[in-house]
Amino acid sequence: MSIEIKNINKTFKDFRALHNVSLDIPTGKLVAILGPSGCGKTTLLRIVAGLETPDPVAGADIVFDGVSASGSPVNRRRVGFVFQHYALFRQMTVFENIAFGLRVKPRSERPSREEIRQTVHDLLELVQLSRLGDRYPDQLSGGQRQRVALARALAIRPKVLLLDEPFGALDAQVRASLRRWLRNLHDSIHVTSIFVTHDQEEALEVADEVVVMNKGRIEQSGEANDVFRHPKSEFVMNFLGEVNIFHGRFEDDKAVFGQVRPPSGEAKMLVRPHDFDIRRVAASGGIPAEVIRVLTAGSIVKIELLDQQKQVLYVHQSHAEYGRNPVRVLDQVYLLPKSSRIFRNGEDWVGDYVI
Amino acid sequence: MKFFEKEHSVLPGFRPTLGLTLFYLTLIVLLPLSTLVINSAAIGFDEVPHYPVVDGKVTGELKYLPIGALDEWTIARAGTDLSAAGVKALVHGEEAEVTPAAVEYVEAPFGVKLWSGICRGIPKFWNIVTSERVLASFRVTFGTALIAAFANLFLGGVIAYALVRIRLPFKRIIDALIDLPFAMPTAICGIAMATMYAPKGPVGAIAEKFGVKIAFTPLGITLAMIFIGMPFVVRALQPALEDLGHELEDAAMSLGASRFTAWRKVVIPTLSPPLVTGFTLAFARGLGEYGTVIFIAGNTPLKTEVTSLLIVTQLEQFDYAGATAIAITMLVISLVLIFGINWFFSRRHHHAGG
Amino acid sequence: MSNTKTFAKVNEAPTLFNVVIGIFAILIVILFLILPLGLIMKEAFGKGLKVWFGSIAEADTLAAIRLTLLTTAIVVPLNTVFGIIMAWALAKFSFKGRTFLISLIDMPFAVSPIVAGLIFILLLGPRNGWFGPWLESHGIHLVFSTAGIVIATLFVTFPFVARELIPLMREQGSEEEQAALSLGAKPWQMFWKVTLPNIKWGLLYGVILCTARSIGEFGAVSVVSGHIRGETNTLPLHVEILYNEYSFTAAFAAASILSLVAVVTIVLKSLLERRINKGG
Repeated sequence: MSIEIKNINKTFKDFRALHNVSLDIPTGKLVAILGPSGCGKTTLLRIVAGLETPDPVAGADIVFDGVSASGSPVNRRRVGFVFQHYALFRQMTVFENIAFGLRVKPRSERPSREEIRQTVHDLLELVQLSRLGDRYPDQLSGGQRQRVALARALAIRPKVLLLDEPFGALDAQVRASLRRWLRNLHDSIHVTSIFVTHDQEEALEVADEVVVMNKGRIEQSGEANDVFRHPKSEFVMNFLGEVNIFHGRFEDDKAVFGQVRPPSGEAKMLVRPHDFDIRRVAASGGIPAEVIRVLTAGSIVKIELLDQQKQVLYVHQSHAEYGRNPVRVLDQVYLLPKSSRIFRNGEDWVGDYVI
Repeated sequence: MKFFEKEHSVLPGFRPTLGLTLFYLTLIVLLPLSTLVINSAAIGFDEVPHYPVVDGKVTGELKYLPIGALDEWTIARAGTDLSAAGVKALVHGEEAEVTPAAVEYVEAPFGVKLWSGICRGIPKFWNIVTSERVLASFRVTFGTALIAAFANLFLGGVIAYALVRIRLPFKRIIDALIDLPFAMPTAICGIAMATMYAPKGPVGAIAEKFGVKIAFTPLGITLAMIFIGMPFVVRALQPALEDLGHELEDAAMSLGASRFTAWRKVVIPTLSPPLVTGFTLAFARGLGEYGTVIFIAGNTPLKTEVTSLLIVTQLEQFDYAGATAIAITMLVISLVLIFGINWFFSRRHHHAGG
Repeated sequence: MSNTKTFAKVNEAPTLFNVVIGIFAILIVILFLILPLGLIMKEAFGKGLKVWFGSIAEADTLAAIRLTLLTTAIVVPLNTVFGIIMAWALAKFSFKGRTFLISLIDMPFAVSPIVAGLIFILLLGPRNGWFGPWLESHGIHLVFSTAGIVIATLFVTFPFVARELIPLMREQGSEEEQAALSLGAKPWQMFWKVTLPNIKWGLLYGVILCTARSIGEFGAVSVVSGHIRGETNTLPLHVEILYNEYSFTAAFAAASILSLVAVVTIVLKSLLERRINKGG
């Protein structure tokens, strides 16, 4: 089922949480809404679910498969919503939690007792909790609760599945395994899903498409790989991974970096740590720097350097790459950006530059 | 945002539940309580000013007629022109057309009525609440309640300390028993107090041997108020003492303070908010207490008559104005005291906290 | 009062100071709490169970018990239902004026019971009350009657349930209700299946306190009741009358029933507090 979000605005008292947000989500995709806290991503998700109402602006609408859902309250939208803190019913067992959505159906639509039991068992199997049906939520671990919440949301055969920070409250290891599990689950059930996260790695790893939000607006949306490779704005590039930032200014249609540092440069060059070559000898466009720390523990080698403006720069290399040219602390080297992006007032800028 | 306008929430039932809340609150709490304020404001309006009419002419002086007996006279409305042949007037409470000569009084204008009601009300109110008997009841009530609250600060403090810090036998039972004065009907507490402290009662007899009379003296009232107020102090202190733990005390002692100094300088000041809360609640309860006190008080006017009993006495004599005036004075004084104590201590607390 | 009472483990060796304080605390409890309770029981049962039964079985006492139970049976359900309604509006939603309404709910606790009785005389009194004469002319006697007792008791027990539920529901938030709605529950299903089970222990706690108070209320009821034996006497009022008539055995027999109710109340209360601490 496809979702169209049309011209959604939301104001809380004096605070504008969402500005003219519009977004199309095609059937069967798993989409991540990514952004820092307070960017409006959860509000958007709650509006899609019907847990919040958008400002009454002309053209504002939420459309499921061509049918407007604006008029229907949350309990008629049939969205599966997984709350950040799960919101499991603490007075019910896991089984009762999952069966809830079926048991509250009107008598005419309600499945029989046996059918409910079968559905719940299938779902418990799907989320790999078959033996825990009789437990109460406070007897479960965080990851187990997460999966119960998911099974509960899936029980009503939702048109769309919405997950609010699904891994936010879990510790790192559980998180990583649940991510993979969620991706696999989605591949097997294909229900259109949106999840909200502030973790760019999570978004890039799990989602088909990524929507980056900032200050109530959508900055960029598209396939995860595309957004990562071609960020449209400084914010997106900065948010999607580590970057080194060089301040500069524009002179005669050229961006000039690396000379006297201006108080607030209007030009910014962003380079990802893995996009540097380290040279021993001066090269044109090379940034002179001194190695101050080398960390070889881990899957990559992390090198910290100090440039002439006393700014700390970060370079990541594979062990193989590092092995070909191992730098040591206090080595004087030149950094050559293999790939970089320049932004003018936060917007993408293409043109010549000088370092 | 307008009053009673909620922030958006998807939960159902805001309007009906808020509507019912306002309805029930108004019916059970607001309307009844407002009678107290309005009736005491209306205390001067029991007699209404009228101009007497002599030979069909209005005289200048005012005469006050009791509001309940107005239908005994023939009264023309304020500003009626008596020179006309026939005038409208209230005859025995019913409107009729009469000759000017038959009119006995002309109503005073609204402004005059209002002004005279206020002018007569204030001294009347003042006379009621400053009469010797009322003042004496205030002295007895406030005095005993204050002493009882202070005593409870100590006794309740000891119990709270023992319950939190000491391995007491039957701790659960003792803990549950603390609430007994809350759960017992006050009249039952009252007769228990009277029996216990009577000259032949188990405690009264011992006191008698030392020449101390408890029953029918302010001491008896104080003891009854201690009984009824103790749970407030214990229950206010208990959670605070538990939260406090030992760390603060240990820290102070690790810096060289003796246990006594640690308590005096660190623990007691930290506990002052719950101490003040417990004290105020116990004090307020003592001020308003009736059932627990009346059986042991003796109820001798000027000596052992508490204010709530005085209100009942006034009511039994159908002196509603008197009862209302005393009640609202009592209510205002105790609210001012309670808020005053809380305000004073919270201010000091803020200062202490920087 | 706090529900979050836990007994921290006390591991220290008892110091002399603690022993002295402990003994002192036990003495206070015995002198101020156990002795009065024991006295009532002694006076009530001192002359044997037969005399006790005889006192209870008196027609006026039985009538007083009946009236007390009737009052409680009206007051407790009303204040429970409205307590839940008020708690729903005041705990689950944020709006301007909320804190004001919450402090209004507490008002009956701040007012002396005698004053509580007085205000209903002022409002409904047959001669001078605001609505008294009008009601009287329509044949409705609210004061000095069972109705007056019920109304005064409604007032003094008004806060118990709401006051217990508001902080509890506030703390629980509304996510579970939102989850229920998102799973397709209708408002009533949400309330019965999610909200009510979550607040049941707190609700029971409030109901018990409300019941105890409505059985035992004395001051307010004393003012509005006509003190007519066998008709408008609740059990506490009846105890007073018997006591003032020097029928001590009968007075204490009636008092012992009320004391037993009080003891049951504090036992239930203490059990419930442990339940609430465990969560839910």
